Amino acid sequence: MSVTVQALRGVRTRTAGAGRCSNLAPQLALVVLLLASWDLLVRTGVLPASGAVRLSGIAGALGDVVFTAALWTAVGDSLTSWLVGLAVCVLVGVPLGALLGWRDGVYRSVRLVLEFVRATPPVVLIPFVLLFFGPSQEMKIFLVVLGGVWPILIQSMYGVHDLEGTLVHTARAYRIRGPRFFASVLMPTVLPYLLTGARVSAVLGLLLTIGSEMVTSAPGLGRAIFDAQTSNDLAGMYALVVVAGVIGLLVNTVFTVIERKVLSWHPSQRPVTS
Amino acid sequence: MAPLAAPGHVLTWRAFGRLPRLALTVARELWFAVVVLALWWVLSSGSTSFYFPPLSEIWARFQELWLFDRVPTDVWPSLRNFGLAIVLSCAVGIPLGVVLGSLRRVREIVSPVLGFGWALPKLALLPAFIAVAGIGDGMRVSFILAGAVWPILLGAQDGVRAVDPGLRDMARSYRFGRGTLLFRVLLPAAAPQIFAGIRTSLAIGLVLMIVGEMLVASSGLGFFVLQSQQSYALVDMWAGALLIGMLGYLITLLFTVLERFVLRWHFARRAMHAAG
Repeated sequence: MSVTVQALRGVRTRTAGAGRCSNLAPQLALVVLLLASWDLLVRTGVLPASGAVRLSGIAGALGDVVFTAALWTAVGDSLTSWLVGLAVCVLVGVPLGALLGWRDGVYRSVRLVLEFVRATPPVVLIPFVLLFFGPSQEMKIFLVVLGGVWPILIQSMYGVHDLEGTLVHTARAYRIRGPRFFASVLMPTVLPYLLTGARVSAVLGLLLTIGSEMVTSAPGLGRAIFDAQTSNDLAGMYALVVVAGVIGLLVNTVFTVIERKVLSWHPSQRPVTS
Repeated sequence: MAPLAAPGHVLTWRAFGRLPRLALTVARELWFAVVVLALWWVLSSGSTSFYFPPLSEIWARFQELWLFDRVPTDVWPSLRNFGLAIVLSCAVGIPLGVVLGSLRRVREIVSPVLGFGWALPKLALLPAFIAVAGIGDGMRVSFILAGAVWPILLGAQDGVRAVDPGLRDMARSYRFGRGTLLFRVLLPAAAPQIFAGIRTSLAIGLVLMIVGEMLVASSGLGFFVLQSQQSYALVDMWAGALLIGMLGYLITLLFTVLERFVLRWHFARRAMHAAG
């Protein structure tokens, strides 16, 4: 094994797996170093004691809070509204975007309006949806849909619009229609766009869920974090931030894995930002 | 797009013949937006609904508020914090990303930490920022910075990492100095990805700015919109939302113009590839 690694060391395209193995120790060391320096900053008073908490305190609070029903109810509330909202985004955004992207004339006409809507930060709608629904699950779902549908709709539209004329004509000449056209012509072109759109929508949706919970005190993780801060339970607050980070990491990992699996054939398996 | 007249020629009739086509192109992009606005204006004109006041009223209030009465108190502080945070994000994110993109081993070691920082829903950090740094402008700038720096950093890192190895070898064989390598090879090659990162950062930064103001500020656009809603001044709320939408679009538009200008070689090359 070590011989192989030695032999490959000079080669530019070393596999990621080999790199990961040999880097585990320094990676862990860096994490420990960062945590230790946080502890040091708090202990020496560089970070104010009124706002920052020692590591042991955060760990203790994390250990306590993980076994409470309140935490899992809050996490469940947040994830439910996020997932339902995201599902609606996909169900509405993908077909509508495909419809708009199909004809060049329609695509050009709606582009400006859609780009305007997308450039508007969706959090400005929080006060508005709050009026309609009050601080509830429905409000969060509605907000996630209102804000999250645009990235996936626009990506779907761009994807379908990106279908090459030659490709479509060839398919037509060979009479490739219906499900076969869908599976072997449409999907390979559109899928990379859709997955990018879905990931952006997912991240945005999570942000909107937590943000709206903080602003409107609808039930969920965002509210729990804010409540902990206002009631001066700082250790509990940092513990909840860690939980939110873990959730974010899970969401990210799931999307990365899906993209790697589904698009393993695609030349650019590198984060595509357009 | 073809120039109106080839260089060295006077305007010919053929060039004039293209003008209507240009107008047609612009019209095709614009007509739908005009129709949407007109429909909104007409359909809401007689509206007595509490939630959806007439657009004419919103527009009148918009002019009263934002041209330019409350600009110094509500718009300017928001935009100043936002702009400062984005500039700082670039100043931190681009050099760090270039370093990480060049040093494979360091990159692999810090990648779990970066992954966590990128994945953490940034709004969850807001209470922690309030607890540590209070509610002043410094906190707001650093909060936006903490959220907006990641896409730029990762963009620079991926961009530098993806530089064609042949290009690096060539730079080495010509004995380019470090400075030349950085400014003539690495940064230009990574620029498209860096710009894509900044674009994402602008969107994230706006969201963080507004939510930050909704929660802790006593001035600023986010504060204004939430305050209007809580005092049931719906026309004010709509006027504020309209302004935020316009600002968001304008910022994106200005950035696109900048990107087109700085990266004109990149777009030209891409168009050439697309053409065949």
